[in-house]
Amino acid sequence: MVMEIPFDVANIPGPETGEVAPPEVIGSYISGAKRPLLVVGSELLRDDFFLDIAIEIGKKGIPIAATGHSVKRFVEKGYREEVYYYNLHELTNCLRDPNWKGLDGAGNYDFVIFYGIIYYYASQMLSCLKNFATDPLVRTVSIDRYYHPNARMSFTNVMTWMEGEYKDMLNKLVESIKG
Amino acid sequence: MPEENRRSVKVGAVEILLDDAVCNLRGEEIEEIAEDILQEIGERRLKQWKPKLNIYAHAADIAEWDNVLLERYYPLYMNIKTECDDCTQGPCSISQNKEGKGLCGLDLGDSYQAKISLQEACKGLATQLTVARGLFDFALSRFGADKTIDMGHSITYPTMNTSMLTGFYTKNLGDTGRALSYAESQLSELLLAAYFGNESEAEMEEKALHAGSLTFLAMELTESIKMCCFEFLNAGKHPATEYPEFPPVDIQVGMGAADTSKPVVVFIGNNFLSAWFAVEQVKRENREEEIEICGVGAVGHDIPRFYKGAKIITSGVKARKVIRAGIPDVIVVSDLCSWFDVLAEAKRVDAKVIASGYAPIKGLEDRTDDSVEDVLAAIIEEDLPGVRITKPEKAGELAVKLADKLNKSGNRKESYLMPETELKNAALQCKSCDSCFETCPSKLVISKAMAAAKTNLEPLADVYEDCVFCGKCERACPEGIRILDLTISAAAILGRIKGDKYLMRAGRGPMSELEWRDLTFGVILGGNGPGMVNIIGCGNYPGSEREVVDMTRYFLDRNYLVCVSGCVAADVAKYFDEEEQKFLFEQYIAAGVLKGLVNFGGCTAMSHVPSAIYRGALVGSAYTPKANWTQIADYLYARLPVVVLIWGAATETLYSVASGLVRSGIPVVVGPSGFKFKRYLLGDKDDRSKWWMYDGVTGEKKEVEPCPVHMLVPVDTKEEAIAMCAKLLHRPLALRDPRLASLEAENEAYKEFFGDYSDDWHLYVRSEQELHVMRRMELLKKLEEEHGWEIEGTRIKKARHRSGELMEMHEYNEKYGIQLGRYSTLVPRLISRSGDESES
Repeated sequence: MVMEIPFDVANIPGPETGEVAPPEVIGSYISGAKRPLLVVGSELLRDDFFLDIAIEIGKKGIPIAATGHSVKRFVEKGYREEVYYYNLHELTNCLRDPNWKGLDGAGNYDFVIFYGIIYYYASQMLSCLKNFATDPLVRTVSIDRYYHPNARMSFTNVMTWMEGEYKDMLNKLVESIKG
Repeated sequence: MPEENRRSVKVGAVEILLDDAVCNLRGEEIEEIAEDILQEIGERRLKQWKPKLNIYAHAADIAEWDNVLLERYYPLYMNIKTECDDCTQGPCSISQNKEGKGLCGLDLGDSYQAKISLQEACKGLATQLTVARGLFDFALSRFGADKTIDMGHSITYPTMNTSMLTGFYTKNLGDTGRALSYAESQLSELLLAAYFGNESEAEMEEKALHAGSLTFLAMELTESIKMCCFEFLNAGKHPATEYPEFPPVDIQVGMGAADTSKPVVVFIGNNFLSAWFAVEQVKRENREEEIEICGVGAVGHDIPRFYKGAKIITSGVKARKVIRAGIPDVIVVSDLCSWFDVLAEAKRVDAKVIASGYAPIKGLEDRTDDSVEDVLAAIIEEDLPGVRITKPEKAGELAVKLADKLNKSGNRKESYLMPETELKNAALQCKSCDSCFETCPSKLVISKAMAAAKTNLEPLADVYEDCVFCGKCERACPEGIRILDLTISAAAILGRIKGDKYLMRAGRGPMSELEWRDLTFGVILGGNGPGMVNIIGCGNYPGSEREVVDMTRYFLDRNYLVCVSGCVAADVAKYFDEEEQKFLFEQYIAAGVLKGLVNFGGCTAMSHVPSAIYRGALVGSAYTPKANWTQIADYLYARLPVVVLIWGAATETLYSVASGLVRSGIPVVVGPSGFKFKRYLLGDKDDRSKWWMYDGVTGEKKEVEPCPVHMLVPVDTKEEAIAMCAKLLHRPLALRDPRLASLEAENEAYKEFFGDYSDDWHLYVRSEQELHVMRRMELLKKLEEEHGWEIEGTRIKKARHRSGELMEMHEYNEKYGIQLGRYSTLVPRLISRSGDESES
């Protein structure tokens, strides 16, 4: 297991902390999910590349819950397949409920990918799901450029000037998700 | 108790046993208060409902209402803490044992998190009680217990937050003391539960809600003393004809507001008393034009309510930037909502510090007993960093004299900002390690701005705009770069500090019943306005002023009433319309009516938010607001289209405030920087079992619209905030025009910010008349194609019930929602006994 300091150095939840993993491993982990869900937030809007990555993941058959006002860009891009606006906390509240009907009415999800969400905002949700979405287990991963110790698996911290490397990681991740 | 010993009260033909009518009857005082309230309620209403008065309420006395809320809105806990060391057996790992419980029996899942939630709420309450107690003691010593608390002829119901919990209005300082002592005793009870409690989750949360209600009581007592003893502006003492322009737009606000060529005293914190005496000193010497009296944070909004010459610089959490910019000669600091090393910051700019009140600062000597002249000489001659003065009279006088002396001494530099060359050289030291980015609470990408600084200072100045000036970045920087100094200097070089100068209205105090009567025609009986949005709280958010200004303008342009209070009021003021050549406060009237922009005042003026809304409930219902919590909250929760937006919400006070608002039946939207909040209260619109009301006459339980869908909900962006505020204005008992207004508000916001309508807008439609004429055809088509309704021309013929059944409209309206104007309630006790109560 690769060790990493949490992106917010003072945010050290314990005793369980998530694993840092490269994109291929996370992609493989996602591929093993029965009902995965991609949750995206407003940080996605800073560059169309990130939006396109979300759409690429969506095209692998993974529905998208667009939080904040990120859904508008999907609409503008003409990608309406399985994209739903949801308030992030409302969604988290649903995810921890085993009886939730899901976005498509077919039931709750067993795997949630967090992407493009303000660090401290996502950290709250991951903390909640880690502790309360346990029966049945909802697994979580983060593919933001921050190490999220509350996720079960997360990208490592990526410096702001390593934008190119981060984009490469996302491309590799998309490639490694089996649709 | 034997029947013959039970005391009863006769109201007309109705005889009421007091221990049936009062939640917790203990002592003669409560009996007397109860008798007065029952007489006020009157015979007719006592025949209709069984009263349950919460006089000097304990948390459990309002459980009847709290449980309604907590059963409908599930607490969602955040930032889960899994270890506890509250007891002598700790630390205790709660998640890592077989039972998933602590030794005390509290489990991780709910009750332990609820306990932490209560701890947070208690901290907020303690902050406000301390402020209230300090001011009360001072006022009592100066004016005596008989000093009248008179809120003015325009206010029929005066201290409403207090009466809702105690059963009486405070008529003088003696009453204020009784109410304050009650609240302090409640805090003791709540603290015991918060640290040693073994209650259930619901009981812990009831207590957290109680702490919130008490916080408003404490704020209100402070406000009443300010207005009645210290001549703070108070709309209640002015005729309603003045309200459209009351008070005038003449208070300067912003970093560029202070004239630093003059002696400048900057007051920071929650305690205004030393500022009061400083102003007295300035006026006594006729030096209003020569001395700058400025405020930061709560006190910044207090001073303009008694002194027009005051300048509001910024919010309390951003106090550091005021000092770094070198604005003050003297800093007078009282209890802060967000502490920082004031002394170290003051030393950097050769300013002196006076710690006033009972909040000591490490490193300052208490010189309260020395004469002002002696202290002044000591500070100058011995170059003391400052002193502590507990008497506000002395602190105020010293502040003015010291600022004057320092300004004339020539010891302070003309500017403490970095020249451009020095700034650029310092920026070159940045190695882009991003340690600052990692520690920044707002996640600002400072390294990129540093890299750009060689040729372009704009990005650094943009960081200045977004920064909350906590200073964590400087502590983290391995190169020791003075990051804050660089950003402030960059902003100054580009003219952004000088240009940060606006005009606003001072806080006006309470909203009157007369304004609510007007508003009733606009949002309850009629409906050309969606409702009332209250924007409150601190300026603790990245994106700073721009976002609150954008949201405020959006709401005002669409006929909302917008009320602001707390530090955010100064941020809202920061807009100048180039076309109209007007500041935001000049563009809109100041009355509490549709399209009005009202500034209640600083931090404690947030207490006018619930009291304004209670007045709205009283205008419509005429229920007593004395110890009658459940009935008032039940009424306004289901009818009044009001919502509170807390954009910068990281303090415990705001956590407690949010809890208090929820308990009053007012939904709250919190910005993303409210990450310190431990608990939210969310509803599940899809769970039909949660959304019901009792027909108030027949007692039949009826399914209603899922609204307000949440009571305490965070949002990510300003766009989502606007849409959420609009959504939370739906009410099950709204009449036809208000239904149209709130539905159109939601539809417009969703369409604009999300690109499409919500997935549940149709749940709020009960007639084609509730669809806005501009999009009626489009929505009718959607009802037909997406929701399976039957449409005939421009009319809805059949509606699809949530059960899936297609039914005629009359049947649909019979089975779903409440018949317009029908009295209904969420509380079984409030079902009419005589069956003759109906609303018009």
